[in-house]
Amino acid sequence: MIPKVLVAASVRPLMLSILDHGESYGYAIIQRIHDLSDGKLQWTDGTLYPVLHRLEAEGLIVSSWRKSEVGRRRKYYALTPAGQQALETEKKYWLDVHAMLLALWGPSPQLAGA
Amino acid sequence: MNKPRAFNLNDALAAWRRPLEQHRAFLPGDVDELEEHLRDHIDRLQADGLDAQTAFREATARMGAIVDLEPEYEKVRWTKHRYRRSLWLELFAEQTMLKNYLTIALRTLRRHKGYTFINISGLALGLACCLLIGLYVWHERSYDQHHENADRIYRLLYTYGEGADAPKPPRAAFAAWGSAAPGPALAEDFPEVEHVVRFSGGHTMLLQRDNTPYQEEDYYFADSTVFQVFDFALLKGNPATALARPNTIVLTETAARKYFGDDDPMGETLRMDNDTELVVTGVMADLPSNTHFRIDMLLSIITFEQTAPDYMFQSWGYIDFFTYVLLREGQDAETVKAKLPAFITQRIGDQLDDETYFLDLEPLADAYLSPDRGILQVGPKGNPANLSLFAMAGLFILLIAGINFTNLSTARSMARAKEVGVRKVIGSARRMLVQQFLMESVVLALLAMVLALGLAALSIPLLGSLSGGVFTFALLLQPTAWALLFAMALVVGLLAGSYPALVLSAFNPVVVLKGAFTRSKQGVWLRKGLVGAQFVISALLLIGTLGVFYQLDFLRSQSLGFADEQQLVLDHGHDRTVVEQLDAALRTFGAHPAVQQAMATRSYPGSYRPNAGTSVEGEDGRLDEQAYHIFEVGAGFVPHLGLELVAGRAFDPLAFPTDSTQALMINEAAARLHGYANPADAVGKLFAQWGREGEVIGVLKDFNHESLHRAITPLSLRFAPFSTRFLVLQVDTQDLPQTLAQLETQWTELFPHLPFLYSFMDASFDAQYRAEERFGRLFSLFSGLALFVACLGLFGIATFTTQQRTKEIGVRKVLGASVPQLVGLLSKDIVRLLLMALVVAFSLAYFGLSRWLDQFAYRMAFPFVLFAIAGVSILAVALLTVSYQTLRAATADPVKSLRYE
Repeated sequence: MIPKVLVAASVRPLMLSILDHGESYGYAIIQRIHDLSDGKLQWTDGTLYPVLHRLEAEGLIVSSWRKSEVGRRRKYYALTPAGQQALETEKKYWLDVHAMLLALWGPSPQLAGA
Repeated sequence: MNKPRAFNLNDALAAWRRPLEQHRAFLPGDVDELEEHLRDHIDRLQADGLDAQTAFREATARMGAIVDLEPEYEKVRWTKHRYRRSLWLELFAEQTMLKNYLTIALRTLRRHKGYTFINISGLALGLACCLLIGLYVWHERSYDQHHENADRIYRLLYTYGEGADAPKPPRAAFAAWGSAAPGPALAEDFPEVEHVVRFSGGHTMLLQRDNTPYQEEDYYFADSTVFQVFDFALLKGNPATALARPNTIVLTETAARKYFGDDDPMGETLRMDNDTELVVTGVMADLPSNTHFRIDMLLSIITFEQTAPDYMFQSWGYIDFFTYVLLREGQDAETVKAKLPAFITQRIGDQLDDETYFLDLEPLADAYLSPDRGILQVGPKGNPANLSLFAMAGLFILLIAGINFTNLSTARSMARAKEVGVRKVIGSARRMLVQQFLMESVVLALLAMVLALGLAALSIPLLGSLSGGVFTFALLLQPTAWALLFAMALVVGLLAGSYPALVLSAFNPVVVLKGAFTRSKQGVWLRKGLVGAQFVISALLLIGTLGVFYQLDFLRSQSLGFADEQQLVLDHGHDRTVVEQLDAALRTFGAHPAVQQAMATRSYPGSYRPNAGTSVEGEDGRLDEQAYHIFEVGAGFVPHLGLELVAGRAFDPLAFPTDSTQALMINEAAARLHGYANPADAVGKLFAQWGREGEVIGVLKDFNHESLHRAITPLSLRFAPFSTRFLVLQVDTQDLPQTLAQLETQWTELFPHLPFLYSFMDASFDAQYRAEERFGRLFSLFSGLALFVACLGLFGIATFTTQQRTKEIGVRKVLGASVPQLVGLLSKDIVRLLLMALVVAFSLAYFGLSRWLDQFAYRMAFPFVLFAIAGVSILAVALLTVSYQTLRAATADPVKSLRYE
């Protein structure tokens, strides 16, 4: 199981990335992360909503209440241009970290023995 | 047996929602969102084969408990829009608690009606006074601010210094009434100057349309630039050309209505002084009350220039103009000021003979409240010293009211120590208690505010008459007034409430509930200090008020050095017909049985008088030139006013025909100025003045020819009946109305073209003190109120302290103390406090009053008797206030008091 600190750090880029594929609502977003992680990321579902609300307050996403195809009221979230930008930045950070780790752990560790 | 109820998903969800909905961290939309999440999840679990109840449990477990969610939601709560709107409420208290505080506040206030009444009425009085004073001060400070260019307009000031390199004299030495020439020169030499406008006035003219002549005084000749510099709104006419041509006049709306009624005055003519036709080229809006200009009409200055001798407009020494300068945008007055000395040297350096000429610029905003600028101003002049005294009185009153409020609240709250204890035990946080007490005092203050508004509105008519019309309803209707009042009430409420709130909320519940607190000494010193401060302030105000009245009385009782009573002054405004028939007119009026003497003059004590450059031969035989006031008088001036001669003789044109061309009289001050300590030495010396040369024939004993504000200044008298403006009749004041009516009939027969304008010399001389009198009346009203409020507070405190000592009094009584002993015991503290307060007040009053008195040339010796009066009266009032309470306590049945607590 992935430790809590890492979960907390990754929620933001995860949500932005999911919304980058198109607008969605809370349950679906959470379910998607759940499916993707294959249960390795664990949290209490309710605490993810405040994260969405914060992203909204920051102007990275916008929300609107709408009736879904099955007739239930749902609050849909969609990425704003500012959100796109934020996602690009996040992407860069994570890829940098990823590259560093990969460099250290890869088939020919560049720093090994140095 | 009850069958277990079947699981209902909707009921379960509703039950799940409830605690969330009651928590402030979750907004309704948030809970909806979470519920939809649960429903989605449950649907899916049910699709996987779980039953509804299990699915619900599973989903809610995954959702997390309230304790886990709440902190997360709380973190982002402030970022949510809908919440921000009610943020201020949230900051003060939760809404429900707020309501609760309000309920308790109102309940407490209702239960203690006496306390509430004293507190609210005292504060309301204080607020009302402070509001009115604030509005008055604001009005006085708002003078001339309505001009769009107000911050770029400056008034040109000038003065002379003795010696070729005299240092710059103090600000107060500069006069605004100056010469015509510097203005245009400034406009020529200074690129920083956009426009210059000159005014000339202070005279009278006779103006008429058809038959009815009016004597006008508030008119000025002005440059055509006047409308570019000032925002005198022209309702009709072209501002660029209205005053460009000779013989043109612009009337205010009121003046236009006076002459033309509803007719259109544009292009019509008015006749000035029975000879010049003036064309009306504009109508301007009436000037607002808060401007230092008093203008009914403006005439083009060229009208004046074309008939005036050249020197009037070309000389830098001839004084009859007010000059205003508009600087270009972005230009700094300091830069211009720095260049003024060089400008003066270049322009008139070669004409200056052992003297230095100074010019200065004074911001328009200072024109009204600047120091005294000499006798002639364009309009009224404020008194900055009185204004700051007023402002101080206002603050003092508010301070007294605020102290009262704090004192009473603190005192009262001691009695509520138990309530605080109980609240704390039940679980009230300190913050909540602070909020509760603040709430109470703010509610009180706001109630007082409403009352204050009513009081202010009610007192405006009274104040209006006391103040000479400065206070009007219009003042009160401005939003500024409301904002000011609200701000004052809020600040007083919060400040006054904060001390009791902090002290009370800090009580240790265990100590308080044991009952130890009511006997504690905590806060006593502070309260005593505050009461003491109140009395210091009250005593200061009282002494100040009495001091003002004493000084005014002193002024009035001064011997003026001339007979000012029963002198009826008839004003013909330099009318040529009157001057030509002067002797006949004086004979006619003099023949009236009620008239004892009659004379003609241009100036009389307290009236307008010009300055004249006057040279008198010094002891070294050289002519010594000085500039001082001149009275141009007719025959009999000296005996008529009962002036005393100390040397030489008075004008007597019958015996000495040369008196009308070659004689001058001066006063002792002028003799001294020219270097004659002994007045007799000045007699027979040569003089030169305004084109006349001859001998000084007499020296008059100094008399108050200006005002008692100033020491007696040098004065010269010359015989010039053709320059006179007034006929002065000494009349028998018995049956005055009839005398006046008869004189008016005679006047109209002699001079049908002139209005009959009369005044009394003593009245006009006294009018110079009207401002002080008004000030004295207003000041006494406000200080009386302050004292009253302070006593209200004292009454409250006395009530409280005697209440606290109920048991002690009971015990003492049982042990045999008499009523006087008890009263003495209870009053002792207050008396000691008062005596200390009086010592402080006396020393402060001594300095304050001495400084105020210094503005008078004739000031009384410091009236130490005031200390006695103020001390005794304050002590008496305070003791009366306290003794009501103490007597009641001392005469009470000890059995009752011993049962107390």
